[in-house]
Amino acid sequence: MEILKVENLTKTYEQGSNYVKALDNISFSVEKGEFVAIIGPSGSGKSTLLHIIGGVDKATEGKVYIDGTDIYGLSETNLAIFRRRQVGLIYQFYNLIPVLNVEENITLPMLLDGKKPDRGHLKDILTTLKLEDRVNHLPNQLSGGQQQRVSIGRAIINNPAIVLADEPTGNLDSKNSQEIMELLKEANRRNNQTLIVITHDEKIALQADRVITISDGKISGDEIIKKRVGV
Amino acid sequence: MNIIAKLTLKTMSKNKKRTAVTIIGIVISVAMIMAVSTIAYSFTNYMGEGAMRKSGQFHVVFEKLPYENKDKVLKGDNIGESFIGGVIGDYDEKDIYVNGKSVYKDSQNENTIKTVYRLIGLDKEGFEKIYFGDKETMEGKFPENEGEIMVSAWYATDLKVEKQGDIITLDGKDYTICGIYDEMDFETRKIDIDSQTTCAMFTFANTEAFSSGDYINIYSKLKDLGIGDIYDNLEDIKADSGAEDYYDNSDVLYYYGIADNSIGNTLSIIKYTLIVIIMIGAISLIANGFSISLSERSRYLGMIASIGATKKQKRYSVFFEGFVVGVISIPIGILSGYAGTAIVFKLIEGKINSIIGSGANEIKAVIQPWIIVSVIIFSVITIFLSAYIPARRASKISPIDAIRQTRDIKLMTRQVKTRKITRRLFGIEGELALKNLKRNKKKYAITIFSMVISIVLFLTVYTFSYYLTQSSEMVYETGVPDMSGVIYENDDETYERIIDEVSKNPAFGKVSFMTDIKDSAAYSFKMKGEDAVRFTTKGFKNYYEELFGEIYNGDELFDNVYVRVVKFNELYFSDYLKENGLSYSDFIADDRNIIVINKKNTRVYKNDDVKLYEFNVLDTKQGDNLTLTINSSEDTDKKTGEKKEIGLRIFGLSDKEPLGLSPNSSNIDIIVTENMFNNILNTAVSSFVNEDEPENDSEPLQSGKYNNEYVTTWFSINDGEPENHVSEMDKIIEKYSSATYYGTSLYERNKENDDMIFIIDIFTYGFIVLMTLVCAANIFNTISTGITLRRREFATLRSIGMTKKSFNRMIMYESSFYGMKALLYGLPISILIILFMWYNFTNAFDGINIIPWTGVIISAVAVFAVTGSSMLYASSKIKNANIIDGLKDENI
Repeated sequence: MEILKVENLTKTYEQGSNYVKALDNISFSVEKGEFVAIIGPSGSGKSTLLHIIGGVDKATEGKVYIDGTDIYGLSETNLAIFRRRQVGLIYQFYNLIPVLNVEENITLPMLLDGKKPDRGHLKDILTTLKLEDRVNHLPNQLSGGQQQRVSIGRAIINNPAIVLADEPTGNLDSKNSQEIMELLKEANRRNNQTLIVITHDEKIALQADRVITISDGKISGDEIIKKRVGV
Repeated sequence: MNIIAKLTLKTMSKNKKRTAVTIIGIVISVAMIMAVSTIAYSFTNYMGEGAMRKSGQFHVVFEKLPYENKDKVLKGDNIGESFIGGVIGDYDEKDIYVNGKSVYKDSQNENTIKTVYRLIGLDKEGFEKIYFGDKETMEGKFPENEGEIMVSAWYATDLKVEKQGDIITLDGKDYTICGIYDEMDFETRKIDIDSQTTCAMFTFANTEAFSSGDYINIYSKLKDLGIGDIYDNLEDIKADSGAEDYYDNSDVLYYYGIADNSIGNTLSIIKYTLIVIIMIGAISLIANGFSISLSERSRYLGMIASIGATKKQKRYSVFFEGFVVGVISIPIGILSGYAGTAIVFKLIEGKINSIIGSGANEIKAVIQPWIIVSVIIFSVITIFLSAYIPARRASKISPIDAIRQTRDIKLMTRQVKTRKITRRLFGIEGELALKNLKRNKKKYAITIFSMVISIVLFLTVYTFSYYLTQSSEMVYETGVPDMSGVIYENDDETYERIIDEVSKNPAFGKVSFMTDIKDSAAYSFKMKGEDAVRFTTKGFKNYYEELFGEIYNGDELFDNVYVRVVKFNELYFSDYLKENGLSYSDFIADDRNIIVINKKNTRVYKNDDVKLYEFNVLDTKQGDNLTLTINSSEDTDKKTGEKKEIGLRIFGLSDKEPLGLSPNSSNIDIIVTENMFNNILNTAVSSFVNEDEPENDSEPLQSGKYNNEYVTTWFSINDGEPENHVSEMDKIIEKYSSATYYGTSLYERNKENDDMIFIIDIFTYGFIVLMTLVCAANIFNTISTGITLRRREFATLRSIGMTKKSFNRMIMYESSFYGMKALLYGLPISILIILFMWYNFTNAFDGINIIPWTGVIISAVAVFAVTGSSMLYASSKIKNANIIDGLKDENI
């Protein structure tokens, strides 16, 4: 089942009297449960692509469909609501809210919906992420790895249609990096969570099912690495 | 509690300093509004009460209405507590005899204003409730039965009533004078130019015995003075009840700000202007606070936006902060505003009490529930308005701005250009400073706007205080002497001994004896027409036009510039000339010499309006010649239209009136030598006075050169021991058996005026100090936060090798450029507002100095001081921080 469809996506920036094309007519789709890695050199447009897919930035041209919904056809309010329920975003620099504790940061998307999180579900996530002992800690009381785990928890708490991760291990040492990737793969395997990861690290890319290469705003490569079991 | 609220609270408590500044800002603003409202209400309440004690326990008198219509007044709209006096009769001079002699003066003709004496009967309550002057200056007592009568010293002389015990016969009925009261603070002597003067006399009457067929006065309080135009209502009641007229206790109503005149209205406008000024200051400060809070929080808001917060939720974050801050600040503000007012009142208590005579109440901080409610409503509106724009900005924060952390340092799509000359004059630091200002136009504009508002507010308030002081000095006549009056002694030599003794008495500070020429029906003194046109200033011409423009046309106006001729006693006048740098011996050397009083501070009454004027009279110099004309008045048969001319020479022009010569009349006042005075008088009398029709009564009241049928000599006393003036004068006069005197002590009234000005000063300067604090806090907050948000940038500069000295210079340039730009906008805008205020003031007051230059200088200095110190304060924290920490700055 197609969970993400990107059609003729173009993004241009104005820079003085020049126009810079960050994305140039990109089209591709992703199946539910796929683990896709997007790689490319610095400035190739990977992050821009991710932000547009996540509904956080707007394309100059083109469309994005998530689970059949044209996300740019939605009003701003509806897009925000859609995102909190259907899109999980993980950043390189964690972007946790410093004044909220671990539990609050993780459950933030639900709280924005005015919903109370299911305690059982939350406990599961905290256990998986090995954060049971840190529930009331603030971000500045956590290590880098722990903060990123909180970030992952926030991204998956609502069982969103897709999880997008922008260099999730960019700020971590190798041990933590590995742990994080394991957690992401776990979420992907166990919950059939669609996962799109941006990375410049080939080792990480090779852990994915599929690798899309972006170069100068265009797709220069789209390779299936592993055949998914049970698909 | 929802997550947004929780998040907002946590952020607020994390940034305690900034939250505290915003709370303090709101508290100050709310407190000021509360204080202004409380002061206004308490003060007018107090003055109204006090004035009522002075003038009488009533706001309005309905005069001479039929008794049977009394309910039309008593039960009328807005009519409160009332008491009744009987109108026993109106008596012409022909019907009045004093000690058997008629008081009727034969020399009256059509033009003389007729005087009617009205006998009013009051009971004990009436005598208590109407104010007849200080008990100490009253001779005798109030009437206690229907055979006793009380008259005013104002007209007692005209009636030839001299003392208690004299018998006055009105239309055949005898009354014994039991009391002569000195003055009244409200006019029961009404002057109606067109028809007659009505003077009131008082006897005792049992008001319960009145019945149908009698005429009465009803003295009433109004229930509500603040309900718009009360006069329509009074007109209706007057018409309905058949009252001859109604008369309002203007003093009282004036203090309530509703008397139907320009001054009262001006004060009302000012009151509301003040509140608007505070509103603007408050909104500016609070909005600024929210903006700053928003800048610091924009990253969070971006983060939660990226997770899926809607616009509404982001906006809510700002409004919720407003709600929290409001809930804390408003009650504190209200309490402190009220408490502050109460404390200030306590401090000025003594001064206030000296204004009102004995038995005065204290001024209390009084409020009504509606005042608190309106302050709360206003405060809520202020906070809402302040939060509105930041809230809208919050809703627009996009996740991408937060993710990229580029919010505060936007990607420039074009270069920031500065002129080459900037670098040459100010170095690279100056250029950087200027670029810093220019690159974020919006933020720069907001900062400048905030500073401009502060400058405008400060100058507006300063000017308001400046005008109020000037105008109150004009209204309250601080130049009036402590005591003045007339001494009667027919023997010139004795008179001169008295002059000497009075002049040298240590209890009297400055003493003057001024002789002037009584108004005559036969002659008048004017300035020669062409001299009037040539020499009078524009200010005088405007004033004269306003005064007489409807009576005289065009040039005719300047053929009728009246002159008042006076002379002074040598002892006083030689001192006066010395003070003005002139010599008395030079003055009397040439009899043509005159001193012209060249400044006027006076009023014009038109309909019910009064306008104040202050201006120079003549545009001349010493040595100029001008001509006085002595003219026959139109109505004498003898030599109609003829005039005599007397040549005069300007010896000096004085801005400061001599003691006893008040600049209030429309005449041009000139002081002449004794010889010239006699010359002028003799010419006038011999040319125009008909010997067969003596000027005044056949029995001259006085003789001698100081007081006779043609002249009066007035004494004026200032300073020394004002509280002893009356008693000392009594002592002197008692020594001379043939001498008497009449005088009034204006000491009390002067003191009241001076105290009033002192009190006004306290309030206005207090207000200025608070406003200045608000303005300075505003600027400080804005600039220091702006600096703090650029931590990373400054760290970068330092990391590439900028010295601390260089850094300081850059900061100083930046603050100077801010200051200059702010003044560039702020001063012209302030001046526009000042002109607007001046225009409103000149509806009632003319001749006020327009621009308070001291205030302008203070604001300029203050702006640079505040911006400079804000920047230094903020940058000192950054300067000494670790470079690397600054580079990593998460802006949390």
